[in-house]
Amino acid sequence: MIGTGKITGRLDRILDRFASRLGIISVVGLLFVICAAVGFYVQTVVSQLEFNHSKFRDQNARNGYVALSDIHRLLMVTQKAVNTGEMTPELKSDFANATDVLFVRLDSLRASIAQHEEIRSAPATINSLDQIIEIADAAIAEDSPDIDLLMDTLLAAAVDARSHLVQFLDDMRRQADKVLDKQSRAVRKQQVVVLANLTCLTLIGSVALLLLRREVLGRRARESAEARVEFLAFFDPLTRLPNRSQFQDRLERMLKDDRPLALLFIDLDEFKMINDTYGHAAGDAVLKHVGGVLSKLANENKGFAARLGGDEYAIVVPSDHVVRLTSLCQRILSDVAAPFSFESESFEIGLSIGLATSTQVSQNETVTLDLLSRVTDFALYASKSAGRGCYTFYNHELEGRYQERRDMLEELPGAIQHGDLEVHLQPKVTLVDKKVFGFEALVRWRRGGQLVPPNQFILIAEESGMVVDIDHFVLRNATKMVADWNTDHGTDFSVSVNLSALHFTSVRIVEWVQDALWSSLLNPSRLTLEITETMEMRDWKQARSVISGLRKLGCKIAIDDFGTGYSSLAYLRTTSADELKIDRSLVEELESSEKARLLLTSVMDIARNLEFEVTVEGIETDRQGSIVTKMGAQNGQGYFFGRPEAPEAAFSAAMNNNRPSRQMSPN
Amino acid sequence: MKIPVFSALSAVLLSTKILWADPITPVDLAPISHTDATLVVVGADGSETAYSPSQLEEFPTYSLTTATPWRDAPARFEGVLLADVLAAHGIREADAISVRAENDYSTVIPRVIWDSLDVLVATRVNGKPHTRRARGPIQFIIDMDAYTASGDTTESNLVWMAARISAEQ
Repeated sequence: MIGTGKITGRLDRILDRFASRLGIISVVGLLFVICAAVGFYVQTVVSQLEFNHSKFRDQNARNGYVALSDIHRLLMVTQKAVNTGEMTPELKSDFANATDVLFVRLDSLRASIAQHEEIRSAPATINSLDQIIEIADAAIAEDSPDIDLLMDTLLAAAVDARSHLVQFLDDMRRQADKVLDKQSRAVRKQQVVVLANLTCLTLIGSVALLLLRREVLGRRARESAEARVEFLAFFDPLTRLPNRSQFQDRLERMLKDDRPLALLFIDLDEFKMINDTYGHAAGDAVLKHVGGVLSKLANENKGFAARLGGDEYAIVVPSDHVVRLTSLCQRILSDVAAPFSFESESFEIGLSIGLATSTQVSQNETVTLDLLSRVTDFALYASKSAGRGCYTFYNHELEGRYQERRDMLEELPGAIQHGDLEVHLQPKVTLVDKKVFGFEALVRWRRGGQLVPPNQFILIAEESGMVVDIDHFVLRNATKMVADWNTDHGTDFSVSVNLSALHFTSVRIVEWVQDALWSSLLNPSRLTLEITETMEMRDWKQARSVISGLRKLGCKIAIDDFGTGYSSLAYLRTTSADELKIDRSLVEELESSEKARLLLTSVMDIARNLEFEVTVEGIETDRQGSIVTKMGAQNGQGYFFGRPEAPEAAFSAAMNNNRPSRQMSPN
Repeated sequence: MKIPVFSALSAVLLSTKILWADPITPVDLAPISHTDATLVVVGADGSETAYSPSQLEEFPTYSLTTATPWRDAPARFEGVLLADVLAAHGIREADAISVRAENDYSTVIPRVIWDSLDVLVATRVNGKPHTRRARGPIQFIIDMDAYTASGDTTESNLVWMAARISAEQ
């Protein structure tokens, strides 16, 4: 391959030189010289051939043969006179005519010989013929010539002439051979020249063809590249669907036509998980599969599908018919949900769909691309908020909710900076004596005079990544206020701080915790970091590394919200935690449901076997507290023991709680 | 513009026989004592007619001054037109004629020759009877300029000692 590449490169360099101006001038010049040389040579050869031909056509040979015939004719007439015994007038006329014929033949022979190169035997031949004519003329001049003498004389002269003519004809034959030989040599030379010429022209033609081929290939490559560029400008190369740019152009054109249409925004649910778990090849296969399904359904509805980027798609259909659009959404969800496999892995693909029609939007204002996209986005967000895997039609209420969310998103960074966030503390008690041993730090947002609970903004903060800063804020403040209180009042309260799963992608949180402990001087063993298993924590290796770093600082780790969401037994086994916090959902029906009690008992057994300290959340009644205490839970948390309060109030309540001894009601 | 147009027109005119500056001219010939010779013409019906030079001169006679391949200096030839002789015997429209000479030489002349050129069957040279030693007594003559210009002529058309004409089968 390397050899071939070198040869190709060398050939390219040679062709490049040929294709230069100097190269082309040289080649054209060479062609001109070849053509001129060949033309000149061919002209020379043709002239030579014509010359040879003219010699070959020379009348000399014929004159020689005919002269023999003419001599013979003259002798025949004379012989007739000898036979008759006299030269009758008739024979005399014939004799004169025969002499004249021979005379003309001699004249012709003399003329043709004079035109060409000297023939050695020609003079003697002509002399011998002249001799015969002289004898004949002398006989004609006599009235009664001696016929016998005439015959003898003529015979002697004829023998001499015949001998010379034979020699002359041999000379002519040799000349003919010479001419033919020259012809043959000329043809052979011409053959060489023609072959050489053809070789040169073939070489030049080959070079020209190679150059032409390069040009054609280059042009094809350019055209292909241009087509590729054009394709990339307007199509998504992976799914081959129109891209965002083309989507916008086409949608704008359709909106200008002022005919009803619907816009669907479609996002894949949990696509990141597919990419992270199965690799990008699988992710790409899913994107292509979904693209194909959407394109087919869009075409069936006389619309088009586009990929806007990542796992975002759009469909535009020329209809605002709600039933039809509902049917389309259901088809999309069902068709995409159909089993799809890639490299022996089977995928369950879910979608969230937001939909808005131009008719809905145009009730209030002119429909533009931006406006329609914005309201469709509301609908899509609603679908996602509703738990994904569903579709939502746009309405004004949605827009209000979306607006509120967007406002929060815009205000949250300022809230962190300007101190609008507050840390509230909810007591955690030992169930046996109900004494407060610590608190869970919970964030509150004082927004426009109102206190906003975390469930209204933490999800937004997590989606935007701002939860990291919020956690940091809570960590610093909670450790400081608890440490200060302990120092000031000789207490030994602990504090639990929630950490978002987003922290477990880097070890930066370890540094933050260390800083918080150092700056607050809180005993590390009095800090518990509560974590919740989520999809983002599927990178166990990294998460375990972070948890290990935190534990090395002396902190405790609590698994929060156990029994909900993604918490699993595998998680319990692989996570090095100290405390298990059982979610309120397992406690709510504890008093009325045997099944709930059995479930919680089982969880307690597991926790005990794994040597977790157990804290039960959501205890709102004394009876619930008694039940979980009997089950073996060590700690409790809930409204029954105290709501989240401002630090001062929480501390005071805890101090008051711990002073008198409270009795639990009998079970 | 005039010169090219004129040249082109001249070329066209010169290329036609009618407007050619014809060197052959009708002439009246006084009787003369000719060399003994006979030209036999075989007619379309197969009949043979023998002409002596004097009898030939009973056809319209013409004069032509020209050189020949065997005469460098032009000579004035007189005689009759081959086309007239052929026409008289119904073979003017033949595709070709065969001509035989006294010395048994024979040749074939295609019709294009007598159609496009004036072929003189000469019986006199420079006012005198044509002789055998001068390639007579009956010789076919074509004006040398026309002979050279035409692409159809060959030396074999200029038959000397002509003795017999017949249509080529």
